[in-house]
Parts: sequence; C-alpha cells; structure tokens
Amino acid sequence: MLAACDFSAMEQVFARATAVSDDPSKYSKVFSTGRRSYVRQFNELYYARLNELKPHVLTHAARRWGGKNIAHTLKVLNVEADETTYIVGTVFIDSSKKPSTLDQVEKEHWISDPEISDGYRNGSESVFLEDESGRIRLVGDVVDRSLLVSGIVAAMLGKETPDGSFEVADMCFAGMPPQTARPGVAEDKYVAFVSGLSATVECPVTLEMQLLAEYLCGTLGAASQPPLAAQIAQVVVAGNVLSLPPPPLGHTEDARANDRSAVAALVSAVDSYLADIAAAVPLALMPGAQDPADASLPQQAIHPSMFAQCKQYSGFRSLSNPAFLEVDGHVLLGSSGQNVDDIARYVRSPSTGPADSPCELAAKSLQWRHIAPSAPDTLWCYPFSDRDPFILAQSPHVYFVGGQDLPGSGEALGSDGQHTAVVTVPNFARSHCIVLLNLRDMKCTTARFSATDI
Amino acid sequence: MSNADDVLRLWVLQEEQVVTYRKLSRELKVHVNIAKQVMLDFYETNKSNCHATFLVTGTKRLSVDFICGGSESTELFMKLVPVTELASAQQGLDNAASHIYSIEHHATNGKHVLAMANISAGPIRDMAEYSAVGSSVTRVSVSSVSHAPVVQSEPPRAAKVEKVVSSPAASVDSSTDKQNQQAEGPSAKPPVKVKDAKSFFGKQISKVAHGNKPDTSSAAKAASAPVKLEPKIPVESQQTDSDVDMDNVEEVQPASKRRVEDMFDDDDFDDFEDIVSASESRANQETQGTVTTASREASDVEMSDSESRDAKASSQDMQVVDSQPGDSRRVRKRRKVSKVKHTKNKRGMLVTQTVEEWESYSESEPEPVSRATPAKRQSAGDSDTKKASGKSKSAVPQRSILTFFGKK
Repeated sequence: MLAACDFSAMEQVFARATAVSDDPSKYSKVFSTGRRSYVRQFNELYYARLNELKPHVLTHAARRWGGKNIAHTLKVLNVEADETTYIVGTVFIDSSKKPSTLDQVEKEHWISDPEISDGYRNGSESVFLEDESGRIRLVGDVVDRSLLVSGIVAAMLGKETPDGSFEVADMCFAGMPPQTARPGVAEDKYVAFVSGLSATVECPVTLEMQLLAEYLCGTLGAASQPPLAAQIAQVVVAGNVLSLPPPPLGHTEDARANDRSAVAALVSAVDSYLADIAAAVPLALMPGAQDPADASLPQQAIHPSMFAQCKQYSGFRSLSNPAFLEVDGHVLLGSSGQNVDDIARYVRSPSTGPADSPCELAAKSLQWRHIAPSAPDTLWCYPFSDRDPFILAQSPHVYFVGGQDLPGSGEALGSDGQHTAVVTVPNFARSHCIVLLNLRDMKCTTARFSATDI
Repeated sequence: MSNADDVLRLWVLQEEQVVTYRKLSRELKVHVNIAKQVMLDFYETNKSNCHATFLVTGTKRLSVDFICGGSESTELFMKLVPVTELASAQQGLDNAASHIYSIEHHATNGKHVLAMANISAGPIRDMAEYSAVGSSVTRVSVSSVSHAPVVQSEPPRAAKVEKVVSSPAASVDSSTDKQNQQAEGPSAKPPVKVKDAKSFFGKQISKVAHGNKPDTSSAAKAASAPVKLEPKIPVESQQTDSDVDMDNVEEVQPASKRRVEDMFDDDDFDDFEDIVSASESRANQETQGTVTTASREASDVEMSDSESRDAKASSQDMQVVDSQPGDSRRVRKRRKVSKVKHTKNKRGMLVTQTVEEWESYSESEPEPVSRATPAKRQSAGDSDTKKASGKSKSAVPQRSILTFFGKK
C-alpha cells in the first residue's frame, strides 16, 4: 500500500502550455471561394498568376543575369536566333501521361480500365513556355534534369535553335516572398501535426487512435516522467480524418445500396473522438482528399455542424485546405497533401532520393512562390478570375504537408534571409506516427503509437 | 484501497472484464496515476489469476535518416505490450518507462478487445479532472451549439407517434358503433398499447378509460343529454388527444403528466360534447370520409401534407355538429381529418400512410381556403385536358393507352 504522500505526488496535474492564436477572420478570406461561378474559364487564373509573379521573376532574373548584359525579350515569340536572352512565361508540359477527361469517363462507366500512370513525365513529353503572345518549346539538358511543373512562372535563359525551339541554359523563379520576423519562444512549446486518421465505417476508432487521444489529453504515460503532452499547445489535423466508402456505381435508385446511415454514425464517432482532444488542447481541423469536402482546391472548411461536439470547445477551428494559422506569432501554412502529391508526379524519374522527397518538393514550391502550380492543369482547382490564392504573399515560418508516407522535416531558405521549416506529416492510419514541432528551436520530433498483437 | 480491490476483483475475476486504467479512474473518481498504481498493486497480488497489458514509453534514435536536412532525430516511442514482452520491449529505448494499461482475466484476443474496453470506459473529456495534464480550452455556451441533434430526434419520435396512432385511428374508423367498440374491448387492445408507448395524454386517458369503459358506453347511449364525464373520456378522444402536439411526450415524468393533463382537462371538457355528438354521427359520416379519402389518395399521391390535410378536412367537417347551445363559453370543436404522412422505412423506401387525426378548431377561425376547390379545380382541369384531347373519360379509369384515344 502506498503512503499518502505518494498519492499526492501522483495526483499532480501539470498545466498545459498555452499559445495565442490568430483571429479567425485574419486568414479566412485567403483561400475562400466565396460565391462560386463556374462559367468562367481557367485562362483568367493563368493570366492572374502570370501578371502577379512576373515582376518577381524579372527581379530575380535581373539580379541573376543582369550583370552579364543579357537582354530580356518581352514576348516569347520575339526571340531571335543566335541571341542569348531570357524570357518569362508559364511552364506547360504536354504529356500523354497526364490525366484526361476521357479517361475519367471510362473509369466511371467501366467501359475499359484505363492505365493510371504514377508520373506525368516519361521522357517523351514536350515542355513549353507560354505567355500572352504564344508558346515556345524548351529543349536542353537543363530542362531534362530540372523539376518542372505545369503552371510554374519562370524565366528561361538561352537562345533560339534553328528549328524554332528555345535551348535553355539556366532558369530562375519568383523566389520566396518576404517573411516577418519569427518571435522568440523561451520555453519548449510544441505543435502536434496529425494527418490521415482515416476512420472507417468498420472501425471508426482504432486502438492506436485511442492511444493518441490519451497521449494528447495527458492521461497516458508513467507518473515518474513529466508528460510531454503538457507542452503541446496546438494540435493540427491535416486532412483525411474520414475514409468514406466509395459511392456505389449505378443503382442510384436502390435505397439499400445508397444507405448512408453508417456514414452518419461514422461521422458522429469521429466527432466524439476529436471532441476528446478538443476538450484538452486547441484543435484545428483541415479537410483532405478523402473527407466530405470540396473535390477541388482550395477545399473549404468542413461545415461545423458535422462536428457538433467539437465546436462546444473554444479551441476548435475548422480550416480550409490549404490554410494559414498563427501560433504564438508563428505563421503556419499547411495543406493536406494533394498539391505536393501532384507535384511529385512531375518528377522525371521517380526515385527515393532526398532530392525528390515530399519535403524537398514542398520546399521548392516555396521557391516558386506558388504552393499548387499544377492547378488547374492536373490538380483540380476552382476557376478564380481575379486572383490566384495559391501565390504566397508572405513566407510562412512553418509549411506542413499532410497525408505523406513518411515523416520528414527540412527547411527552405530564401535569398533575402527567409527561413521556413518544412514538415511532412505521415498518414497516421498506416504509420501510427505524428510529428511534434518545437516552436522554440523549430526542431521536429515524431511520436509513434503501436500495439503488438495482444 | 479496499474498495478498489473489491471493484477489480468483481470486474476482473468474477465478471472477466477487460479493465483499463481509465475505466478504473472513472469508477473510483481518482487521478489516472493513482488508478494505475492501484491496478499494479492488484496485479502483483493476483498474478496467477489475471493478465496485464503494459504501455512502454521511451525515446529511440532513428536509424533511417528521414530528414531531408540531414540531421539526426529521436522518436518518442509508445507501445502496448503484454506483460510477457515487457522486458524485451524496453530494450533499445532511452529513458524507458512503463505503466500498467489494463488488467484482464485472460490474455486479450486482439487489439479490438482493448479498443472496446476503452470505448466502454467512456469519453476522455468526461474525466478531464483526473488527467495528469490540465486543459487549456474552455467550453463555450450551449446557446452557440447547434440544436441539430435535438431537431433530428423529433421527426422520428413524431413519426413513431403518428405510426402508433394510425393503427388505433384505423381501428376506430372500422367500427360503426361506439358500443361495438366498447364491446370489442379485447380487439381494441392495440390502441391501448399504443397509448402506453408514447402519449402522456393517452397514457393517462387510457388508464382512466380502462376503469370507466362501462360508464362511457352508457354515456354514449344517452349522448343526447350533455354529459359531464370529465374522467370518462371515450376511446376515440384518447386516440385523438394522443397525437396532438405530442413531440416530446417521452420526456414527461408521470407526476408532471398528471399536472399538465389537469391543466387541459377544462379545455377537453369543452370538446367532449362535440366528440360525443360526433361519435353518434360517425356511422353516417365515416363511409363518406373513407371513400373521399380513398379517392383523394388515388389522385393525389404526391400531395403535400398540408394540401392533403386541407383537402380531406373538408370531408370530415360535417362530422362535427354544431351542437353547442347558445352559451357564453368559448367554443372550440374538434374535427377528424385525414392526413397523408410520408415516412421512410428501414430500407429507405418512401412509405405513404393515411392517418386519421383529430384537430381542434374554432368557428371563429376562417375556414381553410378552398379546401374542396383545389380538388374541384384539379378535377376540372383534368376534365379540360380530357376534353381537349377530344374525349371525356373522367368517370372511367384509364386502363390502357388506347382508351386515351377513345372508343371507335
């Protein structure tokens, strides 16, 4: 039997670290689609993107090549032979591997099983640079070696070839936007990133998810060790909370096939599960590709009525995807992973090297100043007309990407001293792993939950 | 902690439950760490009779350099292991620690057993005060919470009440005489069951009716005289009262039911004479009402409830006779209306039912606009279209498309 003093030591309750969050209205309009209209075409989006990024590209190009007395040609079709110059435009990759509407129709109607490629570039594609005047084909080793994604606004240095193509010698991009100074944090304060809970109808809450909730709420852990959970000030769920069963093909009139009552029960169970976490620590929820949200980016915030129990707590926030949020003055930008996954399909020869890791790809997208350049070409996107919301106006302090296979962390460095910590969050249903980011030193730690066959 | 030992002995050894630390903490209302210690003590003294699962925590250096920055990192490792693997699980971990997670009579067969035990322990937020880490959020006011769950629960209840009421209403219509209804006491049992299920009006009234059936039958025979039978309300009024504004009947306690009922007794008394006189003429009216209802069903399957209510109410208005003598009391009458209810069965199929309901109305209230005229207009429209086609087939149901073109 334990003495009374031992019990008093065990009953110690640690105060949880708190953090100041941004006002919900501060970033709510950035990725808001507002009143939607789909009658417009995507050319307006491309024009807006080119017009906004072109000045930044020219600035970097002038800084990079200006000292070499290399002139800038205003329009891509005005390049002249045997004259080294640089042109600015939007990259377009014409590949047979890119998804087509006809393939999607075949897949839905089961006419034939179309071949789904993992990558869009197989060596036979053509790369073009477009602007208002037209497009010119890009050739050269630099083009073959570099990671180019449809939709990037870039400057290409080279000269015209006899066959009318443009042989590229060098390229540069818009660069990272300005960044506000990162506030100092005196003590360890963590942000926990979770992604891909993937709750299913058959098993809404797994044992690993329960361990995660107990850990975040502070009930898990030996009494002899101070709980790290007390230092977690914010939890971000980066997409794919649910794994909904696919809708039945055909038989739309069959009430039995279309019975979605199990899905309603699943949502209720997930709501109760997340409410356990939201009751202990501020929780921000982002939709993902598998969640009941928009199919195209930017996905709007999941309606709060789906999480009636969660929204009873002051720290619960339903965000869009992508989304900005602030934690103690640190600007965090996050996505549920669709943008980076699509960029990864443009890697010329898919390899497991670090240069092609999701972390590196995310860091490169910051260098392009555009986090979803492949939208709307190969990534579904809303047809904005007056702006491109994926263009970064400021560099975040943290850029996290959910739904990945492995956890990872890296950094993106800007030419003007910008420093962004890049974090990739693994799919929890497969890896049972979350990422903890320490705001004091911007270092990442992973926490893994597992249960052997008991 | 003899109480804790008793609880664990009961749950683990006798009931063979899987007891997690959360469940014990909640039951004993103690800190989670105290619950873990209590469980460990119990396991130590009853090792031969039970099995335990432990949570091992520690840090592990990542062997695979997953960070694109190139630096090393450590990983927090938390793993549930059976007691037999406790020692091996702690090997290779830095700062290793462990605590008991669950106790069970036999080794659990699968992770889902522990998961279910955690679910049975209840939500973590309900035991937040026993956690080792405080909360940094507050609960917002209830008014800001969506009432959707409450709203969602109403329709099923209402549907239940309606479904429940529909059978007694149908049974009432099937009989032609009040005495027969009273005589059919055994056969009227379904209506009685119905009242017990849902309506507090009905519940009370059914109890009263059971004791007063003979009296009500005699009252029915002498219906010409005003009868002050406040406690002796016939079966029909039970059925009608049960389905009037009774969305939240399940939540009313019996004591409060009686009090509320007493409040309405006076009003019911005003209507009782209408009901008595209406029941007398039911033998003449029900046939008309049934035919009218059936005809309306055939033609107006997809009418909205309000439209059907208005259309069919007209057929039942005549049941209520202006039997009130010229007195100074507030006159409200009841009339029987047929309503079309659309519900969904378990298979999600749309089920249309016609139910008979009583509704209270006053002579001073304006009559529903053109109750019969929509039907008349519709029938007129139908006749016009038929005339436009050149043939008038309003009296003959169309059997085949050829009839549309008429006989040659």
